[in-house]
Amino acid sequence: MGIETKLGNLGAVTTSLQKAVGWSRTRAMWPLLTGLACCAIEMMASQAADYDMSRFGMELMRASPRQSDLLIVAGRVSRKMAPVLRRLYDQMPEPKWVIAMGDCCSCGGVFNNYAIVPGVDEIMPVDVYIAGCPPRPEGLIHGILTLHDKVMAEKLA
Amino acid sequence: MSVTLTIDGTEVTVPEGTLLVDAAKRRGTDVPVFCYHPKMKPVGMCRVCLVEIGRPARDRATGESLLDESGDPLIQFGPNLETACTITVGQGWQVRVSSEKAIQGRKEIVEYLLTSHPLDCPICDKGGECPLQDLTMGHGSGESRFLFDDKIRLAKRYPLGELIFLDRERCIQCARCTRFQDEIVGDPVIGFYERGRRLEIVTYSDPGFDSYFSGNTTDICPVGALTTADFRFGARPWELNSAASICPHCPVGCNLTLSTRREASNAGRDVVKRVMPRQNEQVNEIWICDKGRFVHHYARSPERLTSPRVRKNGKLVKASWNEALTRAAEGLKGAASSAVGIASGRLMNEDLFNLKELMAALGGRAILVDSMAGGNLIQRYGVGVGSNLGSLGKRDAVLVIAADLHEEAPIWWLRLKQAAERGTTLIVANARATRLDDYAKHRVRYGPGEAVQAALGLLHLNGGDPELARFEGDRALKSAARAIKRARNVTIFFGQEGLNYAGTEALARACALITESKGRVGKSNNGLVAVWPRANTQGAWDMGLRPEPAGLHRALAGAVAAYIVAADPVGDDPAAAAPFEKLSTLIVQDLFLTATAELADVVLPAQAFVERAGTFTSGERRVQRLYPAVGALAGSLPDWKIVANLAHRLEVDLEDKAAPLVFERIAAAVPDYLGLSYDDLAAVEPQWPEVGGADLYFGGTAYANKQGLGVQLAPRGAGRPLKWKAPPRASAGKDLLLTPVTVLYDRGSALRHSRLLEGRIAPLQLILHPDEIERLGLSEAGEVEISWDGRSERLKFAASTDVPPGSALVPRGAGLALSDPTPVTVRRSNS
Amino acid sequence: MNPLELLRGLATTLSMMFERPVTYQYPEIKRPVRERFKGRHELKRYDNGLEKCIGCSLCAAACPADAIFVESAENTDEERYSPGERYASTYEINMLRCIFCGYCEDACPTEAIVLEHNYELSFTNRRDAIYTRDMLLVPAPEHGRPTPMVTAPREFDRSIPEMADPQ
Repeated sequence: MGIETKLGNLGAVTTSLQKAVGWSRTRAMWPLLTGLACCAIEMMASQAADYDMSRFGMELMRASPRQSDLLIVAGRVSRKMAPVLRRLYDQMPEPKWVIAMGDCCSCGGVFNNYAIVPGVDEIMPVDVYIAGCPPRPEGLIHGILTLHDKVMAEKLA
Repeated sequence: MSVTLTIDGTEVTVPEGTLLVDAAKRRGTDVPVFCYHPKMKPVGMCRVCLVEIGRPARDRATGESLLDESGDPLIQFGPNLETACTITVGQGWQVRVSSEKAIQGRKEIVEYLLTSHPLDCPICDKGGECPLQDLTMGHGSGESRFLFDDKIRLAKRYPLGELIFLDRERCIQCARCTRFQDEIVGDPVIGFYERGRRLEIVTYSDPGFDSYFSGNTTDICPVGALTTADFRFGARPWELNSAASICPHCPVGCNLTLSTRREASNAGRDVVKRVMPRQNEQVNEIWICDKGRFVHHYARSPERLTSPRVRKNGKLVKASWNEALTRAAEGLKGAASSAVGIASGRLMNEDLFNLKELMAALGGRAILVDSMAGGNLIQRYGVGVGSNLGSLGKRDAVLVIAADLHEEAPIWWLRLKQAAERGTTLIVANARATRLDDYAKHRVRYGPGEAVQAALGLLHLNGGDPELARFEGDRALKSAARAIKRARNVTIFFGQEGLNYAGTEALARACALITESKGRVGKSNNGLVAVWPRANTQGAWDMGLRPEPAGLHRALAGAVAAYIVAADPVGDDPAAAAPFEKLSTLIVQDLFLTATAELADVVLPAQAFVERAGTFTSGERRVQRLYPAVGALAGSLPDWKIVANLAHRLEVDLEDKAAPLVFERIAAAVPDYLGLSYDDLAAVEPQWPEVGGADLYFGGTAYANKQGLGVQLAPRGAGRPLKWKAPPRASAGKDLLLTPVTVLYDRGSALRHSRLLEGRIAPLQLILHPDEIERLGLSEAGEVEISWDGRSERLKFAASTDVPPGSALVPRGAGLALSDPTPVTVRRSNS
Repeated sequence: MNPLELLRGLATTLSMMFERPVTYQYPEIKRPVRERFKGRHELKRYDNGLEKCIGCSLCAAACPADAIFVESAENTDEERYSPGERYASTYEINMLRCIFCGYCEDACPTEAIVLEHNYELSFTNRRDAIYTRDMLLVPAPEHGRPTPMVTAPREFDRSIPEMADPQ
C-alpha cells in the first residue's frame, strides 16, 4: 500500500493501523459465487446452516466479481474455463485473495491430461491450498482461517 | 530337413531337432518354463513345461503307420504329461499345450514350487518382472494345500560375492545360474551343494563369484534369488523408465538399456538405477559384462565438472560459458594452424566429426591419443556386412593375435568361446597364455613383442611373398596357417599387446594381407577386427582423426594451442606434462578435473554417455545409436555442441542444434557413412530367441530391442595393393621387455568413481616369471625398482608362470606411466 | 388464503426460535468424524517401536493420483527401521495430490499406512503439502524404542512378521 513510503515510519501507529485493516478485511471477506465441480457442493454446504460461513463475516456469496474479495476456486479447472476464471479474477477489486479448494485446482489432482490445468496457480496467484477430494466443509473453513491468519500478518508497507 | 507337427490344432513347420518348447514359441504359444533357457541346453529340472504329446501310432511288427477309420494316421497319446523343453519335435505329432490335463499338470507343479517359496514379493527386487509371479497368476491354484508354517526358512541375505547376493529361500533350484556359468561362460565358480530341500548355491572362488559375467545370472534367474548389489532394493521394476544406450567401455558396443527413476537424492530428477542388456543377437546377444553393468556410477559422481573454468592469475576459477568460450576462441585464433586438437575414442562420432572439422578449418591437426594403428586398414579390410560371431560354424576360423579378449572385450571372448564350442577353428596367437587358449584349436606362441613375426609367418604360409620365408615359424604356426587356408571364413582379431604404434601398423598390414590372400575381403565373417582400447576408436579413424606415430610430444612440438577432448595424457604419464605447460593456450574438455585439466587455461565441462544422444562405431564397424537416459548435469554440454559453439566464435560453421543434424553432416561428408541417418540406425527386426517381452520366463529380463540394431558398414575392399611391413626391431638386450597388458578392471576414471568394483581393480604390480624372480634374487614379499630412459619406479611384484621369458608384465592403466612395451632394468629395491 | 394457515406457519417459525441452532461451532467445537473416515495418513509402528512400513512401494503403485513417492534401502541389525531386509528410506505423500481414496491402505501388505481422522489440511504454499516420512510416522509407542534401533542378529529377518500392534 506504500503507506510508510508516503508518511514515513510511524512505529506503533502503523502497527495498530495494520491490525485494524487486517481485522476489517478478515471480518467481511465476501467470496465470489463460483463453483467449477464437485468441490462446489461442499462449498455450498459450508454456506448452509450446518457450517454457516457467515460466522466469519462471509455473509454473502456475491455473483459479481466487482463485489467480492475472495475467489474460492472449487473444482478442476479445465483449459476452456481457465481464461474465464482469470477474467473473473481480473475483474475483482484489490485487495483480493484466492483459495484453491481441493486437489484438482491445487495441482491437478488425479488428472494428468491435456484438458485440465495442473493447478490454478498456473493462471493466478493462490494464497491458500486446501487438500481433500473434496475437502469437507470443516476443511474449507480451516483454509479460510489459514487465509485470515495470512491476511492478519500482511504488512501495510 | 523340416518337421511338421500340430500344436493346439495349428500346423507348424520347424527344422528337425527343434525343441518342442521352441517350436511352440515360434508359433506364438508360450509353454511356461523355469529351468529351460533358449541359450542353454535343456535339463528338464523344473517340470513346469508339461504338455500332452500324441505320436502317430505304428504297427509293432511291420513298423507301418496305423490309420484310423477315416484314413488319417492314428494318433496315440501317452498316459503321462511330458516336458516340452527336453523333447525334440517329430513328424506328424499332435501336441496339446492348453488341454485341461496339461494345465492341471502345470498347476500342480507351480503349487509344488510355491511350497517352499517365501511370500515376500513386496520386498523382492524381481517382484513385477518375475516369471514365477506371472506363472502363479496364470497357472497357480490360488490356494495351497501345504501348511504355511511348514515352509522351510533359510538365509535371506547370502552374499555370493560383493556383487551378487543370494536369497536362499527364493531359489527354485532351476540351475540356470550354475549352467550359465558352466556352459556359457566356462567359469564354473558357483554350483549346487547338498540335495533336496537342503540344496543351496555356493561359490567356490575367492573373491566370491569371481567372473566377469556374474551380473547376467540375475537377468536369467526366474525368481528373485539372485540380486545385484547395485540394484538391491533400488526400485520396483514398474517404476522404472528405460532408455536405450550403448556401452562406452570397449569396442564390442554392447547394446544396453538404462533403467532410470527420479530420486530424492538427485532433487527429484532421474538417475540411472541399473544397466541391463538389450538384445542384439549380432553384437552381445543378451549378455553384458560386469564392467558395463556396474561402473555407470561415475556419471553421477559429485566430482563432475559443473561449470567452465578459466585460469586467472595462475588459478583456475569458475567462469561463465561465454567467458570460457571467448577465451578459448582467442587462444585458438591466435594459434591458427599451430593449434592441435587431441581426442580419444571415448567420444562419439558427432563430437569427433565436429572437432575434426574445426581443426581442419583452422588448419591445425586433429590427433587421436591411442597408440594403435590400423583404423584405415579396417575401413578397407574390415569384416563384411552381416558378420556375426554367433553365426560362425564348423568350417569357419578365427585368429586372435596379440590380444587378451577376456580382459579387453569380454563379450567377444564369450562369443568366440561359444563359437569354438560349436566347432569353429579358433587360433590364438600371443606371447603368453590367455584365457581364450582353453578353447583354441591352435595356440601359437611367439617371443615377447614378436606378434608381427608370427603374423608374417602365417601370411607366408598362406601364399604370401617369398621374401617372408624367414618368418616361417614352428609347427604350431604351420598347422594354424593350414587351418586358416582351409577355412571357409576367417575373422582376424588383432590387438596391441606387446607392440608399439609401428608394431600394430605392421601387424594390421600382415593381417589384412592374410585376409586378402584368399580373396576374402569384403565378405561376411571375413576380415579384420581391431581390439581397440576404447569404444569408438574406429569411429575416430572414420571421422578422420589419426594418432601421431611418434607420440604426443612430437605433435605438440610446434604447437601454440591445444584443444584436448576426453583425454588425459598428463594423468596417464605425469612426465608428459612439460610440453603442455609450454603451450600458450591449453583447452581441456572432460567430465572431471583431470591432471591435464589442472594445467589448462580453459576447462569445459562435458556430458556423460547416459545424458547423451549420439553414435558409436564398434570394432566390427557397426554404427549404433545412444539415446539420452537422464537429464544432463546442470552446467555441462554435449561435446559436439561445445565444439560447435567454439567454432562459431572462430567463424567456422558447425552444426550446434542437435545430434541428428550433426549426423546428417557426417552422412554427407564421411565416405563410409554416406546416406546413413538416425532412422536407419533405429531400425529393428524380429530376433530369435524372443526375450524381454510379456513372457519373461522364456529368456530372462534382458530388454527386447525396440530402439535399433545399428548398421554395419561395408568395407571398401582391397583397392590399391598393400605391402607388408617388416616388424620394428625390438632390442631388449639384457633388460626385460616390460609389456603393459590390458585388464578389465583398471584404474580408469570410470572405475575409480564406482564403489562396487573397487575391490576388484587390478593392483599395480610387476608380474615376473618365477625363474626371473630367482635370477634377480628377489625375496618373497618386497619391492623391485625398475628403470628405463633415466626414469625409475618402485613396484610390488608377483609371480606367474604365464609370463614369457625375457619379459615382465604390468597391468595397463594401473598407475605406471607406460603405454608401449619398453625395455627396463629390474633391480632389487634397496629399502 | 386462510389466515389460520398463515398463523400456523408463523407458529412453526416461532417455535424454531427456541430450538438450539444446528450450526457446528467449528473450529471451537470439532464434530467427531465417522470411524471409517479417510483423512491424513499415518505410518504405524509395531508395539516394539519398529516401523511397519517395509518400503515395498505398493502404495505408490496403487495410488491413482501418483501422490506417494517411496525409496527403499536395506536394514542392518545395527541400524534397523523395520523388520526384514527392506525399509522406506524416503516416504513422501503430496497431500494436494492425494484424493484420500484409501487404495494405499488396501495395497499395504503390513497395514503400515492408515488414513486417520485429520482433515485440517490447508497450506499457504505447495511445498508444505508434501508430508515426509518423519511427519507421517507416529511416535514410538510406550513400550517401544524409536527407530533406527540396534537389534539382535537374525531376530527380525522376516518382512511380514507376527508381531503385536500397540495396545
